[in-house]
Amino acid sequence: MRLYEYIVRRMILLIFVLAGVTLVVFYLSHVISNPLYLYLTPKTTQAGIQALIEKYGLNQPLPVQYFKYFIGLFTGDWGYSKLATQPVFTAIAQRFPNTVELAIAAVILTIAVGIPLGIVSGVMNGKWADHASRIFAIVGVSLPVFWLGLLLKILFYYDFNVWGLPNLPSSGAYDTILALSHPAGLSPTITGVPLLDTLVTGNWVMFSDSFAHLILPAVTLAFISIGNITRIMRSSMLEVLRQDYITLARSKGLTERIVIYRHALRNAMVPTLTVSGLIFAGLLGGAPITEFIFQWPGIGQLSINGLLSNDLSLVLGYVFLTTIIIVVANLAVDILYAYMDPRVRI
Amino acid sequence: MRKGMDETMPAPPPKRVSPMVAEVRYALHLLTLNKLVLAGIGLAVGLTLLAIIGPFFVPANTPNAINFQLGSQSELGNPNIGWAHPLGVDTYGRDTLSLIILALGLDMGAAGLVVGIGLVVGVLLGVTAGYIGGKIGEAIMRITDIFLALPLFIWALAIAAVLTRSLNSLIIALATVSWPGYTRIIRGQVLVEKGKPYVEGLQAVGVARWRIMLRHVVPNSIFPLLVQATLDIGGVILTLAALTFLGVGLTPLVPELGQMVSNGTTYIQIDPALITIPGLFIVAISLSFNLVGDGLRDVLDPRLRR
Amino acid sequence: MGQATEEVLSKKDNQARPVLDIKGLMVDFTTYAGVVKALDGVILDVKKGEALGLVGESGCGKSVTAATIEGLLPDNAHVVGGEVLLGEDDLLKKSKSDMRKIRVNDVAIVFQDPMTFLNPVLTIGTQLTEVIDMEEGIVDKEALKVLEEEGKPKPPTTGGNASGKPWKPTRSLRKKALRRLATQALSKVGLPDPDRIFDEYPHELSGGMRQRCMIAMAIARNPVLFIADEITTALDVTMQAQILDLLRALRRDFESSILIITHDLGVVASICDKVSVMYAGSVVETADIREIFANPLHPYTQGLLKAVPKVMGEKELDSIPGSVPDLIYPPAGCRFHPRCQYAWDLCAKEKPPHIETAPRHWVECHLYKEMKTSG
Repeated sequence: MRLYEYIVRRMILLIFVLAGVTLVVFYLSHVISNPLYLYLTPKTTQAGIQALIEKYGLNQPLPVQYFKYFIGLFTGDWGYSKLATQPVFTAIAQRFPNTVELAIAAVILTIAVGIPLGIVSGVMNGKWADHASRIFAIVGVSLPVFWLGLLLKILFYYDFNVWGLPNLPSSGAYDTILALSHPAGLSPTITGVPLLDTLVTGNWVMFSDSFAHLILPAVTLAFISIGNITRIMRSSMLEVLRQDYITLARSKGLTERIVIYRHALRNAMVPTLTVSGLIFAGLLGGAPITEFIFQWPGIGQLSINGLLSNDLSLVLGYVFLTTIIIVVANLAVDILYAYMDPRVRI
Repeated sequence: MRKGMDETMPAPPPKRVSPMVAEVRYALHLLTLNKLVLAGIGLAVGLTLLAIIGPFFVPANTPNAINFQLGSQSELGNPNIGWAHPLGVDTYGRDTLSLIILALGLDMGAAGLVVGIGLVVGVLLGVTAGYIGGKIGEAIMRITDIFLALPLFIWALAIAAVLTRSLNSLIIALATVSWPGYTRIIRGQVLVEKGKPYVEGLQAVGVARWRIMLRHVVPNSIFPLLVQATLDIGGVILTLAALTFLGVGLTPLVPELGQMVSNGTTYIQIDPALITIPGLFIVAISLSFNLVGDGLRDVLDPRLRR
Repeated sequence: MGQATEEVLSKKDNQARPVLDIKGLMVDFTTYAGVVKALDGVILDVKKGEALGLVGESGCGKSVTAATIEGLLPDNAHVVGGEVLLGEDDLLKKSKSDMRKIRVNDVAIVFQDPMTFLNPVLTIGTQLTEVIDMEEGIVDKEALKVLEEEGKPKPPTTGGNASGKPWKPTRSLRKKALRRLATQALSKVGLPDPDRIFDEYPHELSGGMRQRCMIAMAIARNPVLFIADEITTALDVTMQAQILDLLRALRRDFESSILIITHDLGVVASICDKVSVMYAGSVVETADIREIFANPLHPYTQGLLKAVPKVMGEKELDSIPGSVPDLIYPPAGCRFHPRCQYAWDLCAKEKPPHIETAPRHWVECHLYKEMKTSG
């Protein structure tokens, strides 16, 4: 049961990391700013303040407060969000499916473009195709996300409008007005993911609308990830093509095609796919900036709004969730790695 | 026999140079072969020069030289602004070129500071963790793991949320989360060096541990750090700009690239140049350092050499 | 080239054409530090059914020669002269796709370190069957055999099936047929339990077994020329002996010509008919195996043989003074002259020609004269 042990060990590590992350932020927030402000309104009286302190246990020693908070995180009590006028957990849970939708779209795009580009670049090392991909990749990685998003908006939304071309929508996950006017609207919500729901219920009008809304944010996100994946795939290919077993494969008289697809790729894919997994996890973290620019109703946008309105519990809840996602994704990737490379056994 | 080869040609004696010098020469040779890297170096140098020297040619009160006439909506996008403002004006009527020059200094300076602080702290902790090891080393590495669990931006977001809104807090926030990367790198290097025989030899002769660290181990471990630091400048610039774009840490009048883009979003349909120009400079900074870092990494990768 | 050498080479032409005939091969490598003149006129040949041992220190150019024959030189290598004749064809003049076909059918090479030369993520079976599958028709024939043994009806072998196309076995049938052929090859190289090995990964086998798998991959295509590049170097002595036994058995059964590259004289002694000694890019002596041990002519060969530790003697080990020359700035004239005790001024000026100084004994050394043939 070595796999089982391994997972358990990593889970313990996860809790440890979660504790660390939340501790840092919690401590900073309680020492530097006063959490009391979360609950104050202009109408609160002195007695009211006292009552608030009592209610939320703000007069207890810091470690105790933290401990309660930490336990609360695991039981679903993530505090209350003034901004969303909802418990933090509910607010995040409602918007999470949208983030998932965006993340999946971006990852699919990234893999579909990035991997072939990386392979071509590696195989054609030194030729113009290689140089072109490398430039494309490194520029992609150097772009600020918000700027790229804005540029795409300018081009495909504003300019297309002006030029009379069909334009891509620039905000939201779907057109709310359309949703209201359309007889079926967006119901029933099964998964909470608009694209899937409309697909499953055969609601083509809303489906194409959701799809159209997905394009710009997904491309923005994917652009930068593609740069990353291409570079990794390329260096992985170069590494593999230099190996002795490739020389043997060629000496067997195999066509270059088979040498690359059967011998080289199977080895080169391993680090690339693992990185893809990590990228997906990162995207699940909401890609806050992209969501913000496109007003995409996901957890990233929520956290930014929380940040800007000093709604600390919201930000903390977001950080908590993101940490879990990333650490679990790392674990999954490590297991996947062991599965793909027969030499590696946990 | 070979055509044109003089049979009696004597071998030119190979010049005696220390291995270190030969390495550096070879590295420079490889570097010059890569045109992209050269372009990156050129761009980085150019931008740095602009950031340092530029401000002398720019009126000092530019940030406050608000001119609502020029910046009013009817004037924006007006091609008649003329050569007094080669890159146009921003929403407050200030000259964009001057703002950019000032912003370059601010951004590059801030990024440099972040990476610098991160390097110093990271190396100190990493060397300690590696050389002394034991419980302290373990503890340091656990803390490092915590910080490395999340991407830079998320961390910066979280910390920026709790600190007061100012440029200094931003720098501190970013520096706090960038040192762990260096710690991990240098600790790995130190562990490798520690196992080498020369260290044991020096210890046997009685050389103080810190001296061994400083004069022998660290110089040998420095190259991967250099690569990472260079790449990080490119990354920090992007994160910094993203944060200021969101409105964390600065007021609208401060000349800073992310801030300028943010200011421009209100007039996105009227004058996209407000967004594109500062953005291009962000890309330029990030790209140049990424290119240089990439090139350095290729050069220092032992497997890619002939 | 000296006139004497030309005469010798033309005499060779008159005899039975060798399977492999390398004439004056010169190969350079361009590196950062300068141009490495790796091969400086290599002359050797392998006749049909013959086992030639190519001996020399590391760096003398043995593997470069093998790579040139296989057409697998790296990009910074340039062939600057000579011919490599496989039968009647000059391999140097072949196109890339032709060379690939030659690699499939005619020349097979087995390498030194089976751990790095086998693909770690593919099973032995996959890596073996891809070689077998390159030969036309072999799988179909085997598939028919399988059907016969299983008592299933045989498809029409002439005239095609209903749609007029020639019969092709189904995927599962092909897999079965390939598996059988592969396991046959594996048992031919002496591997026990070939069925299990077929499904295993390289890292699950021992070094000797991996080496046998590589050999299986080579013989599976019945090559005309079989090159073994230091195949015993990475093995311990027992495994070495087993592999050599295997090679001897294969020689008997297949009659292929073998080029054995090694630095180990013991290996040479146990399996080769003929030996060519290489030094710094050229073949300095070639002779039949008994002849070369009994009567080494070239000072380098003499030095090599003296350097082999003898079980009975207690004398010090005689080593050859000096070190292997820098091939970017090689010594002028005979490349061995700086280390040679017999050298004189001619040796520093002119490279000695490749001459036949005794029957079937060739040498590149100014000490010797061309043997007199009947006028």
